Amino acid sequence: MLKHRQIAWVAAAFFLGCSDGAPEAPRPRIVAYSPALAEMVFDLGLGDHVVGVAARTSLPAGQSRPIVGGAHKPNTEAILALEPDVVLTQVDPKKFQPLRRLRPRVHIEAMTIETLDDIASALRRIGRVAGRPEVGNAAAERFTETLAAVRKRVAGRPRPRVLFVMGYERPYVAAGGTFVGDLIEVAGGVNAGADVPGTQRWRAANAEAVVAARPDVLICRVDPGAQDPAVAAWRKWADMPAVKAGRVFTVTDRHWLVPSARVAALAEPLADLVHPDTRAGGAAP
Amino acid sequence: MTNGPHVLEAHGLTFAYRPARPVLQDVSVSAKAGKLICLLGPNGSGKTTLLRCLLGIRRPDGGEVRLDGRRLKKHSRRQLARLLAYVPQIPATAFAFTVRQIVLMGRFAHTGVLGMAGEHDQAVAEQAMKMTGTVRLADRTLDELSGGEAQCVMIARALAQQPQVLLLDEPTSHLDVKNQLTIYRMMVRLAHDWPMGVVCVSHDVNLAARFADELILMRAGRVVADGTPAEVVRADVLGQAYGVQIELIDAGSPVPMVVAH
Amino acid sequence: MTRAAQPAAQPGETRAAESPGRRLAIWLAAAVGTTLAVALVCSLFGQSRTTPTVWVLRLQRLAAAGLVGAALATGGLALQGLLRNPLAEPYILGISSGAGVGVLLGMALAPWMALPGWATTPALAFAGALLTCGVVYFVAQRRGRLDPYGLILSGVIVNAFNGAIMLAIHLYVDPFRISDFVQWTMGRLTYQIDLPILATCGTLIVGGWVLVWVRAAALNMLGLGDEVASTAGVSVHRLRIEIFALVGLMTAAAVALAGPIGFLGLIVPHLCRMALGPDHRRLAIVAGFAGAIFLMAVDTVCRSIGPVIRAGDVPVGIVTALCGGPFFIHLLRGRLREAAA
Repeated sequence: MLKHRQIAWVAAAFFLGCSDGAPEAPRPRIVAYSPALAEMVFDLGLGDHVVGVAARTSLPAGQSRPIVGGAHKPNTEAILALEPDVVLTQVDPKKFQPLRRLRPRVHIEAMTIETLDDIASALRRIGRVAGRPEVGNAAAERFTETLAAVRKRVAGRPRPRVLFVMGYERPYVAAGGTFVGDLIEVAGGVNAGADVPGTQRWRAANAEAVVAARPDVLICRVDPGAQDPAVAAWRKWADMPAVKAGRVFTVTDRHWLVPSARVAALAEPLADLVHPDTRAGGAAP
Repeated sequence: MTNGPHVLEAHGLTFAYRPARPVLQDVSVSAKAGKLICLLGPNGSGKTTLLRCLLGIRRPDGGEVRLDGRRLKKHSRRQLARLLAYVPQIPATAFAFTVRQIVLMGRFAHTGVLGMAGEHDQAVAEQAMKMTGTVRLADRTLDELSGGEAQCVMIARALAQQPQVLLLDEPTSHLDVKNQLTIYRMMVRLAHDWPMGVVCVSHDVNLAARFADELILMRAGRVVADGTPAEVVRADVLGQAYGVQIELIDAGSPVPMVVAH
Repeated sequence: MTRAAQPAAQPGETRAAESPGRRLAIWLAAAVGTTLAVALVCSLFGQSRTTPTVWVLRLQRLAAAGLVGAALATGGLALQGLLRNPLAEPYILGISSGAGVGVLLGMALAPWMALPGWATTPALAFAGALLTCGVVYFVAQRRGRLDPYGLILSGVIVNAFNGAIMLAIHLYVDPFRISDFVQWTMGRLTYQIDLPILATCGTLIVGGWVLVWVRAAALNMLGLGDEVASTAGVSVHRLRIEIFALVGLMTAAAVALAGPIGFLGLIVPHLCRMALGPDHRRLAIVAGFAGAIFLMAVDTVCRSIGPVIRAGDVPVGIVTALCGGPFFIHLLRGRLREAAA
């Protein structure tokens, strides 16, 4: 009889000891396999769920997470070691086949995030897979409302041709189907980048093609420090309407290149550039 | 430059590619205008290396080569080219130059820095081609020619340098009998009539013995016989040099025929 | 007939004496004229309307194209003469891969440290190219002398090694920038050419071109073999080093301006040789201008054709590579035919 009680005590201790107590991360454990997605998850305040990220992800200050692979090469073993429940990815979900075979319960959530609508829907989906749909929906609401406010601000005005380009030595132009293209529409412009020849959303362009697109406003994204050479380079094309009107601008914010919830915050400054006379506080200096 | 016949001399040359294997040991040669000298000997006896030292392409380890009493290395390559000319064993060129272009290349050391051939150069080239009977081939490329014709072209090129001494490395080893005679007769004419010194590495004892003014027989890097053909063509001397049984046959010519057994 | 007697000039035998200097001047004038005419015609094409501003910018790009084409063609020619091989190309010396290492290194380091002002892509490419040239030389030389086979082998080894280094650097470069770098490796010309860089590279290229022409007669001699060339008055070893250095400088300048544009250095000298014969004195002039015209024309097509083929900017390197394939096939079949005949 003593033996049974002893066994019961040992069993109880064993099972009690087995439970982890407070788990390392709340369920579900998320691998955010792209810089954009990682940023979105953290912005939603769900950073605790993130157990692993891809290379080149910039995390909020003070945060660090294990890196589980490069741009298109997930390291299956590293991911497995984190015991994820969800993998968020922008790349082909087939790349995670080995992972699914070894851990069938894992949920691969693949999304394309190219347009503003894609971003809003991504926010909702992230909320859902993290088990906090209300967070995702609220963020998506805020996102669309910010954009709607800017739309209202510039409503009814004539739309100048706006062209957004990355770099100046080998420029890449934002054509239709990009969130930048969408932002231009939101900010009250017409995306001149759609007229640049090419088949990709981001088009490698010839400087002359940019000139031929006759933009009234040219916005060039460069790394910090390269603003002056960029402006000087574009100003050489004196026949461009944007150059003639003195409306060549540079931006250096990283968020012009990475789709995330913060993109909505770019709409306002963009509208300032496109329709300076609608600035809060009066016309442009 | 002296006006009299020039002398190319080598004294006590020694040379080794690797320390353990000497290729030339204490070799002395003297070449001057009017004489055809043939270098004979088995393979590996150092004939070609000797030729290279005489041309200044190889620096001997010991001894020296002098041209007109002046050491070879005191001359620049251009100066040397006006005094010494070389004909290789196999005529070949990497690109399809015409015969005329090839012969004109011999004028390089005489033309200006840019290598542009003037009237005089053209005339000298023409004369060189006449001497070698290659004028009719002037506009053909080398690969269109037969072995004998090509070799004559290379000789013409060397003549265009207007050298004092002409050095040839086994010029007839791959030619037929008729062409062999042509080349040797040409060498004799050049030596006696131009006149110039001609040093020729030969592989054929009989041809050399028939046409040369002086024979130098080499074995294992040393000169074992040096003299007129009559003096050098001896069964014992040749037999020891080549390591074969030599039989001399009197064919009615000034020098007996050599047959190896 | 003795050496001392002057040969009498026979009308039928000696050539009509046209002063070589005058002939040269005529060739040169014709070549320059043709090149300028082509440049002018090319400057009228493009995707935007030809206004004076646009025209000037196009001319700058055409000038760069002309210089790069001349550099690669002349460099290829000199190298083919040096190595006695009509299939040699400037990039076998490892120059383009060296430039690639320089550029990629700059891209990798840029986010971590502020690069000095001079470290622009052209400067990095140039520095990488020259350094690689130096390495190739040191690997290939024996007692300060260059041997053709040693040079080729050294180039192959250094190329391979550079390739490995570039792949390693890839691990640390932003994916965005990798695409940028891949674009650079395709070889392209841009409108954004720093005029000081253009002037510097231009001087190097033209200077190298002239010096190659000066040594053209000696290059001819090399075709007869080292020993014949040597005994005919050419200091072969010095010539090898000179040509190597000149080709290295010209190619480095070309790669700095436009990235590695392949096949031009092979095709153009080859075509010129087929048309004009193997005399380097003539080829050294013509090949350069032919290369310039070729690249100007190809670049004009590349920058104008976007709307037609629905692509953005087409890098010139793609077109030259596309030309290279059929050209090689043609060459190969020609040789096979010769061999069978």
